[in-house]
Amino acid sequence: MSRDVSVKAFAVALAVAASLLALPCAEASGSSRAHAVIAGSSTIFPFAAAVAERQPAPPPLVLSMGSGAGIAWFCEGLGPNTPDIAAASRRMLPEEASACRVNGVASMQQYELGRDGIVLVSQPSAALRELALDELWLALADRVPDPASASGWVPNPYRTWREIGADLPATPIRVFGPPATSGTRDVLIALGLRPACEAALAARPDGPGARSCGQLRRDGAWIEAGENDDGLVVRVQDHPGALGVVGFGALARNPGRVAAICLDGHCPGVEAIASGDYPLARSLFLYVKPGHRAFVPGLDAVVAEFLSPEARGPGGYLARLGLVAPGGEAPDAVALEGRMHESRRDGPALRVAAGALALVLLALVLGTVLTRRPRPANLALERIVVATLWSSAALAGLVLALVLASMVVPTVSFFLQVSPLAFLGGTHWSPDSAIRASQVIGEGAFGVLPVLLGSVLVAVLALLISVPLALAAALHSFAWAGSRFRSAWRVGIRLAALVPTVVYGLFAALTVGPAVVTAAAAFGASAAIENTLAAGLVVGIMLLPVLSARISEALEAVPQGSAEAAIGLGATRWEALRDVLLPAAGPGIGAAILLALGRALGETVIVLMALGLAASWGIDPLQSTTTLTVQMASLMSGTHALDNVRTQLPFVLGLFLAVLVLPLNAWALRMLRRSNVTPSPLF
Amino acid sequence: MSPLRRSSESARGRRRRDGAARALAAAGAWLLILLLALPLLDLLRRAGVGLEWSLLVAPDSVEADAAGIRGAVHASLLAMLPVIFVAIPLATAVAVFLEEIARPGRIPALVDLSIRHLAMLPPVVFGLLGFGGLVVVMGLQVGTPLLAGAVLGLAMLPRMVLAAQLALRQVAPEVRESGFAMGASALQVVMGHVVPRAAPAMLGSGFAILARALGEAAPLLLVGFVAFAAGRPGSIAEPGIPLPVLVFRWAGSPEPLFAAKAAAAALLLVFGVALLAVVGYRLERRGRTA
Repeated sequence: MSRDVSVKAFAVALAVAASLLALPCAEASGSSRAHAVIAGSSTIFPFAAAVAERQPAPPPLVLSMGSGAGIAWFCEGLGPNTPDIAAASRRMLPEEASACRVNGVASMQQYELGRDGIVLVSQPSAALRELALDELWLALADRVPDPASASGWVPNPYRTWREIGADLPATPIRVFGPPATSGTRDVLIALGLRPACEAALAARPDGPGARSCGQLRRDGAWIEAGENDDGLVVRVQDHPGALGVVGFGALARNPGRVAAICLDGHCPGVEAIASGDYPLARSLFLYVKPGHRAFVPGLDAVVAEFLSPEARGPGGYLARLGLVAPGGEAPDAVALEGRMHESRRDGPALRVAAGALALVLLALVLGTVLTRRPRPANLALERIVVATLWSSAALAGLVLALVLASMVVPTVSFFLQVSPLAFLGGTHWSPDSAIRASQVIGEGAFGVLPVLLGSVLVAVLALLISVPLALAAALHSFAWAGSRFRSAWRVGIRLAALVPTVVYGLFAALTVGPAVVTAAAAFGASAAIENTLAAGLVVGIMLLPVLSARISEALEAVPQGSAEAAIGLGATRWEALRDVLLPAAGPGIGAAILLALGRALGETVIVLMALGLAASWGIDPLQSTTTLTVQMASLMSGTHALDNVRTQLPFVLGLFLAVLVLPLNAWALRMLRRSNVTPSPLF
Repeated sequence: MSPLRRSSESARGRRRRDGAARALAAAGAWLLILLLALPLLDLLRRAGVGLEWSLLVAPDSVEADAAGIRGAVHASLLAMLPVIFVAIPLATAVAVFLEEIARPGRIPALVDLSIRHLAMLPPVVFGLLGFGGLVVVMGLQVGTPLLAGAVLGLAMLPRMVLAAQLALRQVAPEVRESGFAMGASALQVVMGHVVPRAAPAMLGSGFAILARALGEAAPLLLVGFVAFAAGRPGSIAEPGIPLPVLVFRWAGSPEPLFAAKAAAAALLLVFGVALLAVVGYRLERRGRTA
């Protein structure tokens, strides 16, 4: 088969397939759905997943975003773009219910799924095994009564548990807990901290006021570790002496890995939680929109499965996962009735976009087929095809505009509330901020510098490792290796550049992090498991193939005549490299390094798996740090209303990252233009 | 050797330096190969328990011993459809337009420059675009392969444009000139002569882009894919969590069996990516030599 025929057949096949598929895609464009969506509490997530497993197709989707975020999304209105079921580890607040009503979700049903307790867990070997609730409050509150005098309140001075109570161990206070979107956190504050705070306020009324009783300290002792109970358990396993705040299910699912701390003399257990003796016992709720039955046929079956005796009855599969059945007889649904509003329809944006996309693709297909006929030129046809190509370029331009708009709009709104100076110049990063008006969290601290420092630290470590190795390898394959090595090298390095980053992330989190801890211990230093060094090392490994391929590209782009002349005149290969080739390839190599720096700054998956979430203002590579991308991913709450500082923050960080990377890339492009290299866009 | 002459000026010193540089470079190259092999070897070591038949045929589950990747593989494959059939053809058309049709001017130059910069943006940023643009404004359903494919397609579009432009630039100008000399119209030259000659390179790049899209997790982490979908998606609009995201979620579990299964699933992902890349490479070679 000649090239022309094969290529023609391929192009036509591709084009026809594109037209066949683009249209149904555009038609079926996902603004409607038939599967149930369950969003909310991370405590309920495993229970909901177990229920979802037992449902017929289409399978329900379960999102773990926190009770607060789940309810907020649930209350954004009716229709396929909002969840059918909100899973909440606390009761819906009146202000949330009224937000629901305002948005048309007037009619919903509340089910009590079961009982649960908020559990403080630590490693089973940790010394701290018992706490009183006022000790917990003293450890976590933002402001506490001044221990040095009889009156007055001070910012929390306690560093170790021993400072709070003489019978407690002298380990530093470090508590991993969920963010402000979480119901667990709301209940922890309401049941665990507020009573002690109010009692202290009654004794010393000159305090910060009852409203700010729920404020948690922001000096790094309380660490927000994401909306994921299992992730919190992992962090507790990694940090000796640290506590984690999780639901009872996480304790039940991880026996032996973590152990609970008894509060006020009551240890968490099925009986203590069912009877309410355990001080932090609470109920888990499901909120269901009956109106969604219209498009989700299986909605009732999902709810029935949650409440069935096989699920939460004694020995049921939810009970095995740690759900405590509600005491007494099973409560019925509480209908929170109201007038049903017109359901919100999807905006025309999707239809217009899908239509435009389908039209352009169809025109491309027709154009390809028609212009490939051996026929005299047809001016009208040519114009149409050119117009199609124009519109495809315009669509690409539209994408660019969309990228900009989707980041700039939330950013502008963010900076109307937070001063840009505080953001760019602040050295305190504690982005924990309220997702609803009445939540008492206090102002977040949005100084981006520590996060930026973490990003830069990881990138610099990565470059320190990868640049010398990649340069050596590129020189080896260019100057000294045989032709067989070189051709295998070319293919291999391009293959290696495509290895997914999750692979490196697994390597970093499971192997390199613990290895660094062991190595540091051998030298008498202590390292955190989520240390910067491991992340930097593995990002460096990830950069190796990309960098060495780009450096090879730069070397090959240099005209080889002068190097050959140098060798002809008696120079050794190293001398030809050093004096002729490397100087000429300099801009290309510099550009390769700049592009790699941009890539390291934007690397997400590896750092997300290998690094922690707490920002630190230090450059010790053995300690944990956080990066812009980690913060972006972990602050993404999933609610669709981008109307408060918390939901806007990821977009601000994204724009900041783009603004950081753009000049690097522009500089690299300028250098490349000078040295006449086009960088491969594939990696 | 006279003390007044530096070793770099004597023949022996120069040879020695050359030898040292050569040895260093070779050491660097082999160390690089070792470092690149380490993650894969580590995966193999960890995957031991997880690499079993049930991993392939079972859907995701909360129970570690029942969990498998079947649904995730389906979701990943479905998510490739928008990339294959929308993003790559569209990007090719944009490249043909920018390289061959557009008259040099301010607007094409601006589009060209923006695409270059977009291609070099970190992929996470496209996750923000996916959430802000596709989910909130356009109302695509979270957790569906359609959304995953749309986000990945957006992330890959500028890269594919650049790759196709590169392929078109490698076509010798004589091809165009001879076409014009025979009286062909601009479009006849482009569609009949230039694009067919650039097609093998475009095909190879297309496969490489697809391999990247298959392994990419970063933008998906931002658009709500760290979720649970049971079973397997029957269509592009039913819930499904792509394989790289599933590996990410499993890796974060305290249950050791989940970590083993994550490693096994990651190995299969590497295999899939490598397969795509190798097929693309072979097709490109075949097209070039045909």
